[in-house]
Amino acid sequence: MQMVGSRKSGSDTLSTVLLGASMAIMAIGFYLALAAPPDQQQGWLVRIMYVHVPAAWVGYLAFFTTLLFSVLYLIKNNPRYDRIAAASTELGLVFLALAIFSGALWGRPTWGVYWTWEPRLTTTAILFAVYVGYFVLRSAIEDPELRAKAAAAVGILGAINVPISYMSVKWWRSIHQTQSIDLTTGKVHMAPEMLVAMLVNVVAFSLLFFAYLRLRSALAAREAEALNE
Amino acid sequence: MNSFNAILQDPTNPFVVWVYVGIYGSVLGYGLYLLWRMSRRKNR
Repeated sequence: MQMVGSRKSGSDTLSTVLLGASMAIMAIGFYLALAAPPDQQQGWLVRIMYVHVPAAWVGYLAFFTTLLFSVLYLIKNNPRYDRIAAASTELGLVFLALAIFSGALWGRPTWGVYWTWEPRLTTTAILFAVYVGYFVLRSAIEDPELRAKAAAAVGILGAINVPISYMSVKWWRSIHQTQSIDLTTGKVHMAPEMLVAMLVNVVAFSLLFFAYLRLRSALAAREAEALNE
Repeated sequence: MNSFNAILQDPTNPFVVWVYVGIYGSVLGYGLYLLWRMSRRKNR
């Protein structure tokens, strides 16, 4: 058994299983998304939701993972945790960028604009900027220990914005629709066929995130090892 | 807005298809990029 981010955990069995499972579930999710009925108001445009919501969810999941491993790094002082936190942040940025991109393309036909400074979009933009700053900071500090500590601080403080961004659609009602699945109340505002298609895609994207996290952390471990040689 | 209205009505409109291509392509492309970097590192 190897820990995520350890030297030997590159293309191990668990990563392969996670990759395979996520691809298979993603194929099912893709089919369900195309088979789901059109929305009463948005018509077939609602299909964007089946990739937009999972991408945004994985962005949140990634930044929560960053928070977790940043805290672990500060407690245990183990560089593996720093590598996992950095890998998770990179993944979070990739998926959040995709959520912003798909959201903008969804916004144009439904709202009439690609972008507007309403609360959800603004808090998401801040979230994105903070984690870009995470990497700017990392590249600016040469000492590995100081770099890891500073990055952990940003990883922890930046995560404060995750629940704010999630709740922004409820706290400050604006143009962005409220959550289809409200995690605070457990209420679902969606037709069952749409819900199944979206949940399958959320599961697929989440599994893919964990597979990529293992790969990216293992790669970081190898790069660190090569630097020390 | 006429072209956008067409998207709402037509299930085969290429707009949503291109969004899908962009999202799935980026997600899978990033994975392939990681695997490529892993294999390069292994071969050293």
